Amino acid sequence: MTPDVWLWPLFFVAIGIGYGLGRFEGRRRQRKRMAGLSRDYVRGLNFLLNEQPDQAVETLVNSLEVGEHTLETHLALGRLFRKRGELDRATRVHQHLLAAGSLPVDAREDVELELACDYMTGGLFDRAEMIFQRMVERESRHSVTAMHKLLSLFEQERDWNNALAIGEKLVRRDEAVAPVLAHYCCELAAGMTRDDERNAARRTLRRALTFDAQCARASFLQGRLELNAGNPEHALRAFKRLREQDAALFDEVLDDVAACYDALDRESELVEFLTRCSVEQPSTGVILKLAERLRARYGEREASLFIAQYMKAHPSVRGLQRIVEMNLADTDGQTREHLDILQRLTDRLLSEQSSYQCHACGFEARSLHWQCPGCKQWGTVRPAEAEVEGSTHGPIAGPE
Amino acid sequence: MRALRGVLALVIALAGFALGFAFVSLNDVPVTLDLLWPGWQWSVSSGVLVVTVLVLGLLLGLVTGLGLKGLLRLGRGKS
Repeated sequence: MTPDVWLWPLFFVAIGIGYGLGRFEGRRRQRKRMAGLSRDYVRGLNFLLNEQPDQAVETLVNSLEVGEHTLETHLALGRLFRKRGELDRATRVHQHLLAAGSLPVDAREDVELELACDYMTGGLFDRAEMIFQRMVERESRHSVTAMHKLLSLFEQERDWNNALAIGEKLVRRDEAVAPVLAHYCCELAAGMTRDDERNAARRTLRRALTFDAQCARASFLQGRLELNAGNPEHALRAFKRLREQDAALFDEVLDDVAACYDALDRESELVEFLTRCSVEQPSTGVILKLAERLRARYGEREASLFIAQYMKAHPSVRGLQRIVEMNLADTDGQTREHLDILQRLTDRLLSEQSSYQCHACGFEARSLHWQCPGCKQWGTVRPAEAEVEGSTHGPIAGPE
Repeated sequence: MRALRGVLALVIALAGFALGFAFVSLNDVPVTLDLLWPGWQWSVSSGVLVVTVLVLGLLLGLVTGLGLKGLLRLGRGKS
């Protein structure tokens, strides 16, 4: 027989035998590995059940060989510990991963991000900041996340200058942070105003408006700043801009607007302006302010009738309280007694009512917060009354 | 038990080697193979040829069966 005839079948038979042996060996090793894993897993579980979490972490972490396949499990374990507030364990898991040293660059960055989050949650801001800054400088694939984290970190530290520096980098990639940056500028400007650095505050508020032209807070602060600086004309312009930006917040500056008109000695223009406001976007605040001016001009009765007319369409406790207050002086006897009870009742209702509410998380507050203390979002706290009455707003007849 | 298994593996390896040696010694008929390249030839005894083909086939089969990772792990001797 020539070698050509038997050589090929022999060769393929040898390949088949080799393949079979290889598969067998592979399966045997896999079984051995799984057996080892489950043994360690059970040991770890036993430690957990015996309330020995430190040993449990050690066993569970060591039972999983650090590699691309087990990375997610390690990270999930670390995240779980962080969520439970067991930060030392979370940190240990992530440090163990970094110490393994055999991870690819992408995986290493994932672990670094998690470790920085551990530090941040644990209040070790300097360490967290160092890692996040390094990620931003390296332009790692998590750099946007790192910038967001840095922003929140500086926000917690109330380090507005650094927050703005990072924010300016971030806004090029994520425009959604622009309104937040405007609030940072406002925080800075508020500090400057307190320190009597008016020109710097003016520049910072203008910067806020370049970040977010609809930032009502910038106009609010600008108006107050100019009013206190003795520039009622400029203040009035800022307050009118605030009304265009966010009509719901306009009630907050009604007293300031009135002060501006009074300083300019243009009371009739104030009445005209408030009348226009009450027609375009009526609110209890505007109506009450207008009624106050009408009262000075035409007397208690006219003002009371005006409020009552508004109240028919937009009933509110504040309006009722003012009507009662106005009628109280003209009455006596039993009617006065009844009105007195009614006034006490409305006072109590108002004192129990929250004036502001966050439309993101529902947090209720007595005063206006630019950052919600509940969900930490900026510009989400709104006057509660405006939220309720907003949908029913409609033009009402102005004063004659 | 583990030592016994080791001794057994050694005996089997020696037996395989002896068999191969005997096979090569007994089959000493020279064979001339035409290789793929024109003018190239390989003169070899039939025993050596069979053993070479068997070894090459087994190695190729092992590589495909275990995979590259498996082979590397085999080298490290770690599961």
